[in-house]
Amino acid sequence: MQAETIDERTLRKYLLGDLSPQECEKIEGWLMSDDEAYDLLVAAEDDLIDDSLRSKLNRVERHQFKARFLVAPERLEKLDFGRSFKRYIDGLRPGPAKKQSYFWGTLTGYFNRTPALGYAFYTLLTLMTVGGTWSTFKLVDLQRELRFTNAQIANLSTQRAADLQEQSAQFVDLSKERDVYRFQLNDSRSSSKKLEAQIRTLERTISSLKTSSEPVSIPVDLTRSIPPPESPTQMLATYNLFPGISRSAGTVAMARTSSSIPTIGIFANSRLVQFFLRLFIDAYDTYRAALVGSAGDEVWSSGRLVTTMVESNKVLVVLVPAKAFSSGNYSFRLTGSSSSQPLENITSYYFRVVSQ
Amino acid sequence: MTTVPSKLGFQSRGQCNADQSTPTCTRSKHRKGTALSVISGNDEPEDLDKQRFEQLLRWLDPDRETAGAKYELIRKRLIKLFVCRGVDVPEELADETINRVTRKVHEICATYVGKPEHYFHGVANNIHLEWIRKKRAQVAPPPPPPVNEDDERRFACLERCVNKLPKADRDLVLGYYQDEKHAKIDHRKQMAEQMGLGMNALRIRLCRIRASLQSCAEQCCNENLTKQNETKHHLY
Repeated sequence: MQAETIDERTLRKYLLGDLSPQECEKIEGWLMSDDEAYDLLVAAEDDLIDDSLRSKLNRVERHQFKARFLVAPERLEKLDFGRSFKRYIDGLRPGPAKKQSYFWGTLTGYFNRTPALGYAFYTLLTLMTVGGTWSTFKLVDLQRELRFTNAQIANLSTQRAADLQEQSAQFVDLSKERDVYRFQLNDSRSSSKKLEAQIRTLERTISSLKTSSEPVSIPVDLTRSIPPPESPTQMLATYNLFPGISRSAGTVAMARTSSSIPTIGIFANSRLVQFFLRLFIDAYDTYRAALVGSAGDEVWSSGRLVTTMVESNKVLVVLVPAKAFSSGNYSFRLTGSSSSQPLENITSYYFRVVSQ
Repeated sequence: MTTVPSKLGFQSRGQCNADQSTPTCTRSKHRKGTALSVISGNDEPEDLDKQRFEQLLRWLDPDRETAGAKYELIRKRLIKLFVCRGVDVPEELADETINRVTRKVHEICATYVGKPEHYFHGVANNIHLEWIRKKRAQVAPPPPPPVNEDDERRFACLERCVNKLPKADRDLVLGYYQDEKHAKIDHRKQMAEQMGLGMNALRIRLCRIRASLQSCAEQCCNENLTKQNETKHHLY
């Protein structure tokens, strides 16, 4: 193999017969001994034919091409083929993706020459791809979390609004309930008035009875013992009681002596005993009267009592079953309340019972 | 004896016996009455001719296969050399060159130093000079202009042959020949880089594909012509 290679331009001149005999000798020596020479010479012939068909030869070259190059019949055949080939190639339109492939082709070629850089580039590309994918997934995850949090906030807002609405509804319900209670109170007051009327009727009955020979009740006197009713058929006994305690130096003490405690007599056939508990100050809406025995135990009680006017005095009317009593000392412990306030102790009414 | 389109490629000029363990090749005698026979005037006995041809092969290479390949290569190069010198009968001059070397080989094989190709080159120079002298005396007419009646047929055949190419070769050919001027040069450089080849290697590869296309197209045209003639013959 000959070390020196012949460039395309020299080959072209050789084919056109434009070289000196010495240069021709050199090229032919190369042709006879070099492995690639023959093919390169044929390639140079092809290029020359293509240039001729594309009118790229100057005047002198054209003359040399016709007079020298085309003498051999095989070259005329090559020219015919070249003409068809050119027509075929010209019929093809280059695609728009060619520039892109040129870029990648250049890049690939560069990396082929410098493999280390190529590996680095592809590693970087892989890392970028993996990183990009990871970032995308992370972003999607964060977006999902954000959507979830927003949904939670929306739920909380909705729930709060619902709670507010519910509270408003409860408030409305309470207002209605209050109205109902107010109505009940009015109703109770009207009932009290009716009861008062009944009491008056009863008082009138009592008065009429007093005028007759058999009194049914003896009014309570503060200073002396009240004699029990004499009639054994008496069904209702009525007594007036006055507050019997006073406050002194922070302690509760009996205001009267044992002898000054009013005594009431209850017949065995009596069913009810009616007490009029006198009030000097009516400061509460409702009252509760508890019957307390001598041992301090609560024997009986009645709540939701309201004051009634009896002969220009405010009293609480308490009806107690007669069988709650036996002979002994008793007292009514009076407590009162206003609105929704807790009960407050007001006073006590002491008396002694004598069963007959 | 069978005709072998073998690695030796002697089918155009000789015959090889593939049945034997060691293949043997023989040369066919040149046509008489050609320009070359006038130059050489050689008419040796056939046995002697065969013997010297065998000697020539041994001189080219002790291995007969390699010798056959070298022989074909030398003949191909000689034809190209004569074509490049403007000879209108390059094959005949190439064959005459080989004949002359064959006749001399028994004298030179023992003493010649150097590549046999260079000896062939020297003989080819002499043959060419003889041909020039004879051509001046004969004043041969210029070759007729090519007849392009078959352009369409050739084009159709070419299209068919391009489609027959393997995809890689087809893409290579179409890419290689598409651009022009600087774009063409750049594109070819880029293609060579892409394939990890040198420019010369790429050129060689393309010129071989192009040669195969040309050969395919010519064969196709010849077949078409034959069919056409047969049809005409049947019609008349």
